[in-house]
Amino acid sequence: MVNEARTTATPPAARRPPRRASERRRRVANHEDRWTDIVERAGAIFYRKGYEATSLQDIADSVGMLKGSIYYYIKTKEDLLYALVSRAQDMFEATLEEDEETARSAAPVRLRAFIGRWMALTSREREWGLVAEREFMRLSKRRLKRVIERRDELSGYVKDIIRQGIDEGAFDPSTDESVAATAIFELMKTSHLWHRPSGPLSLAELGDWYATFAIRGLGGPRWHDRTPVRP
Amino acid sequence: MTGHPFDPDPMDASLTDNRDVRSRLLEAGNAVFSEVGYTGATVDDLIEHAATSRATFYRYFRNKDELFDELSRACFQDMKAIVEDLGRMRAGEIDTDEIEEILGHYRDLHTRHAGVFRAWWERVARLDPEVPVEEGHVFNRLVEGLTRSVSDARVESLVAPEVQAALLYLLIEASYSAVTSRWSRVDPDTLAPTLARMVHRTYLGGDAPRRASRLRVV
Repeated sequence: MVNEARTTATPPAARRPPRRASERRRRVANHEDRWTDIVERAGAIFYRKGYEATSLQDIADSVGMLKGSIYYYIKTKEDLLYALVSRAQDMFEATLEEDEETARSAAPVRLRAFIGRWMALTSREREWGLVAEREFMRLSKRRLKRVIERRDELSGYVKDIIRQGIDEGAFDPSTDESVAATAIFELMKTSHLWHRPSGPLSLAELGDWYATFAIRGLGGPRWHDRTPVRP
Repeated sequence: MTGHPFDPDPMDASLTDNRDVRSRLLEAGNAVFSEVGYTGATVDDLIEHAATSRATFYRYFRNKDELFDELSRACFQDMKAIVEDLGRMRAGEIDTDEIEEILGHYRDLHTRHAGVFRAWWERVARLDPEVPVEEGHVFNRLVEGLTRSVSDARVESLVAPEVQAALLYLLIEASYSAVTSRWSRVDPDTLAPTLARMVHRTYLGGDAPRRASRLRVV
């Protein structure tokens, strides 16, 4: 039985405790490595071929396992997609954590800090993020519902900041915060598509522009725009 | 897709008879690509949506790429008009109502060609060298036009004006793509007013709204 809440960190087999502690540690580590390996390779193949066109055989070949052995880790191909999407969501959920000083700050400061945290993650797991973003709708209804709830939490956080900014008088009160949050997230997500780390523009500089767009776009005071300085 | 310039030769009777099957397949392509994306879509998805057989599909198209190329050409034909539209967005010469109107046109285009846009995004993602040259020209003209506007607005940033211009286009496209997807919680009708104000202030030098003193009730 595949546990709904399971993410990439805990393969099901790792939960069966072997007898000795040393043996347990070794087995857990092995299973986790194997599981991570399977999920990562599945992500790479989904990225290249598309989820629908990928077979479990393709994944088994890529990991160097017999197809039958994969069933030790998963029941269906969808389990792998769910693991990928969950892992991407776990990663981006970490951006909701603010340090105390930021949490007490004015909305434009919090918004800029959030965009910075998000963009810092964009360079990692690029392929995964894309697979999660473009294939999540292939998940079963129950899982899809969970995935969408988690997406809503993320955009809820940005909406709260926008509302705070409106209350503080920094942002335009006629803003529809759902629309503004969508625009900000979609703008950030486009970086996956075209940004090349080898190019002249760093992700941090790009994030800085996104923050300027968001804050100025919301009618935020110009003194919150940092004047860019060449490093 | 009636009256499409790439429809089969009307003199070819065997094809003319099945014109609607062909259009159904093209419509299916648009629907399926927009829902599951281009990479993820299979010929099975397409024939299921068009309620036809594999054999029929392969009578008209060699593969899904060929079907896509046809949808894509139709989309870029329509896009030329929008390019002119977006080119009108010049600093100091346009207000938020006009931007809203342009966004409305963009939304129509997006609805008509949702599958192409989504597929095209994925192709960009992999820098497919086969994206037709003509499509590239349309996009370049669009970015050139917007770059002039962005330069006029003189927003201070390390991001070059042409990149800002391309991002403006991506912002509009990605936002419409997101709100018209089946999983969106945002009503597409609500997008234009807020997005128009954000674009106006950031890209076209629109001023921040006058802040009336607001009574804050705690």
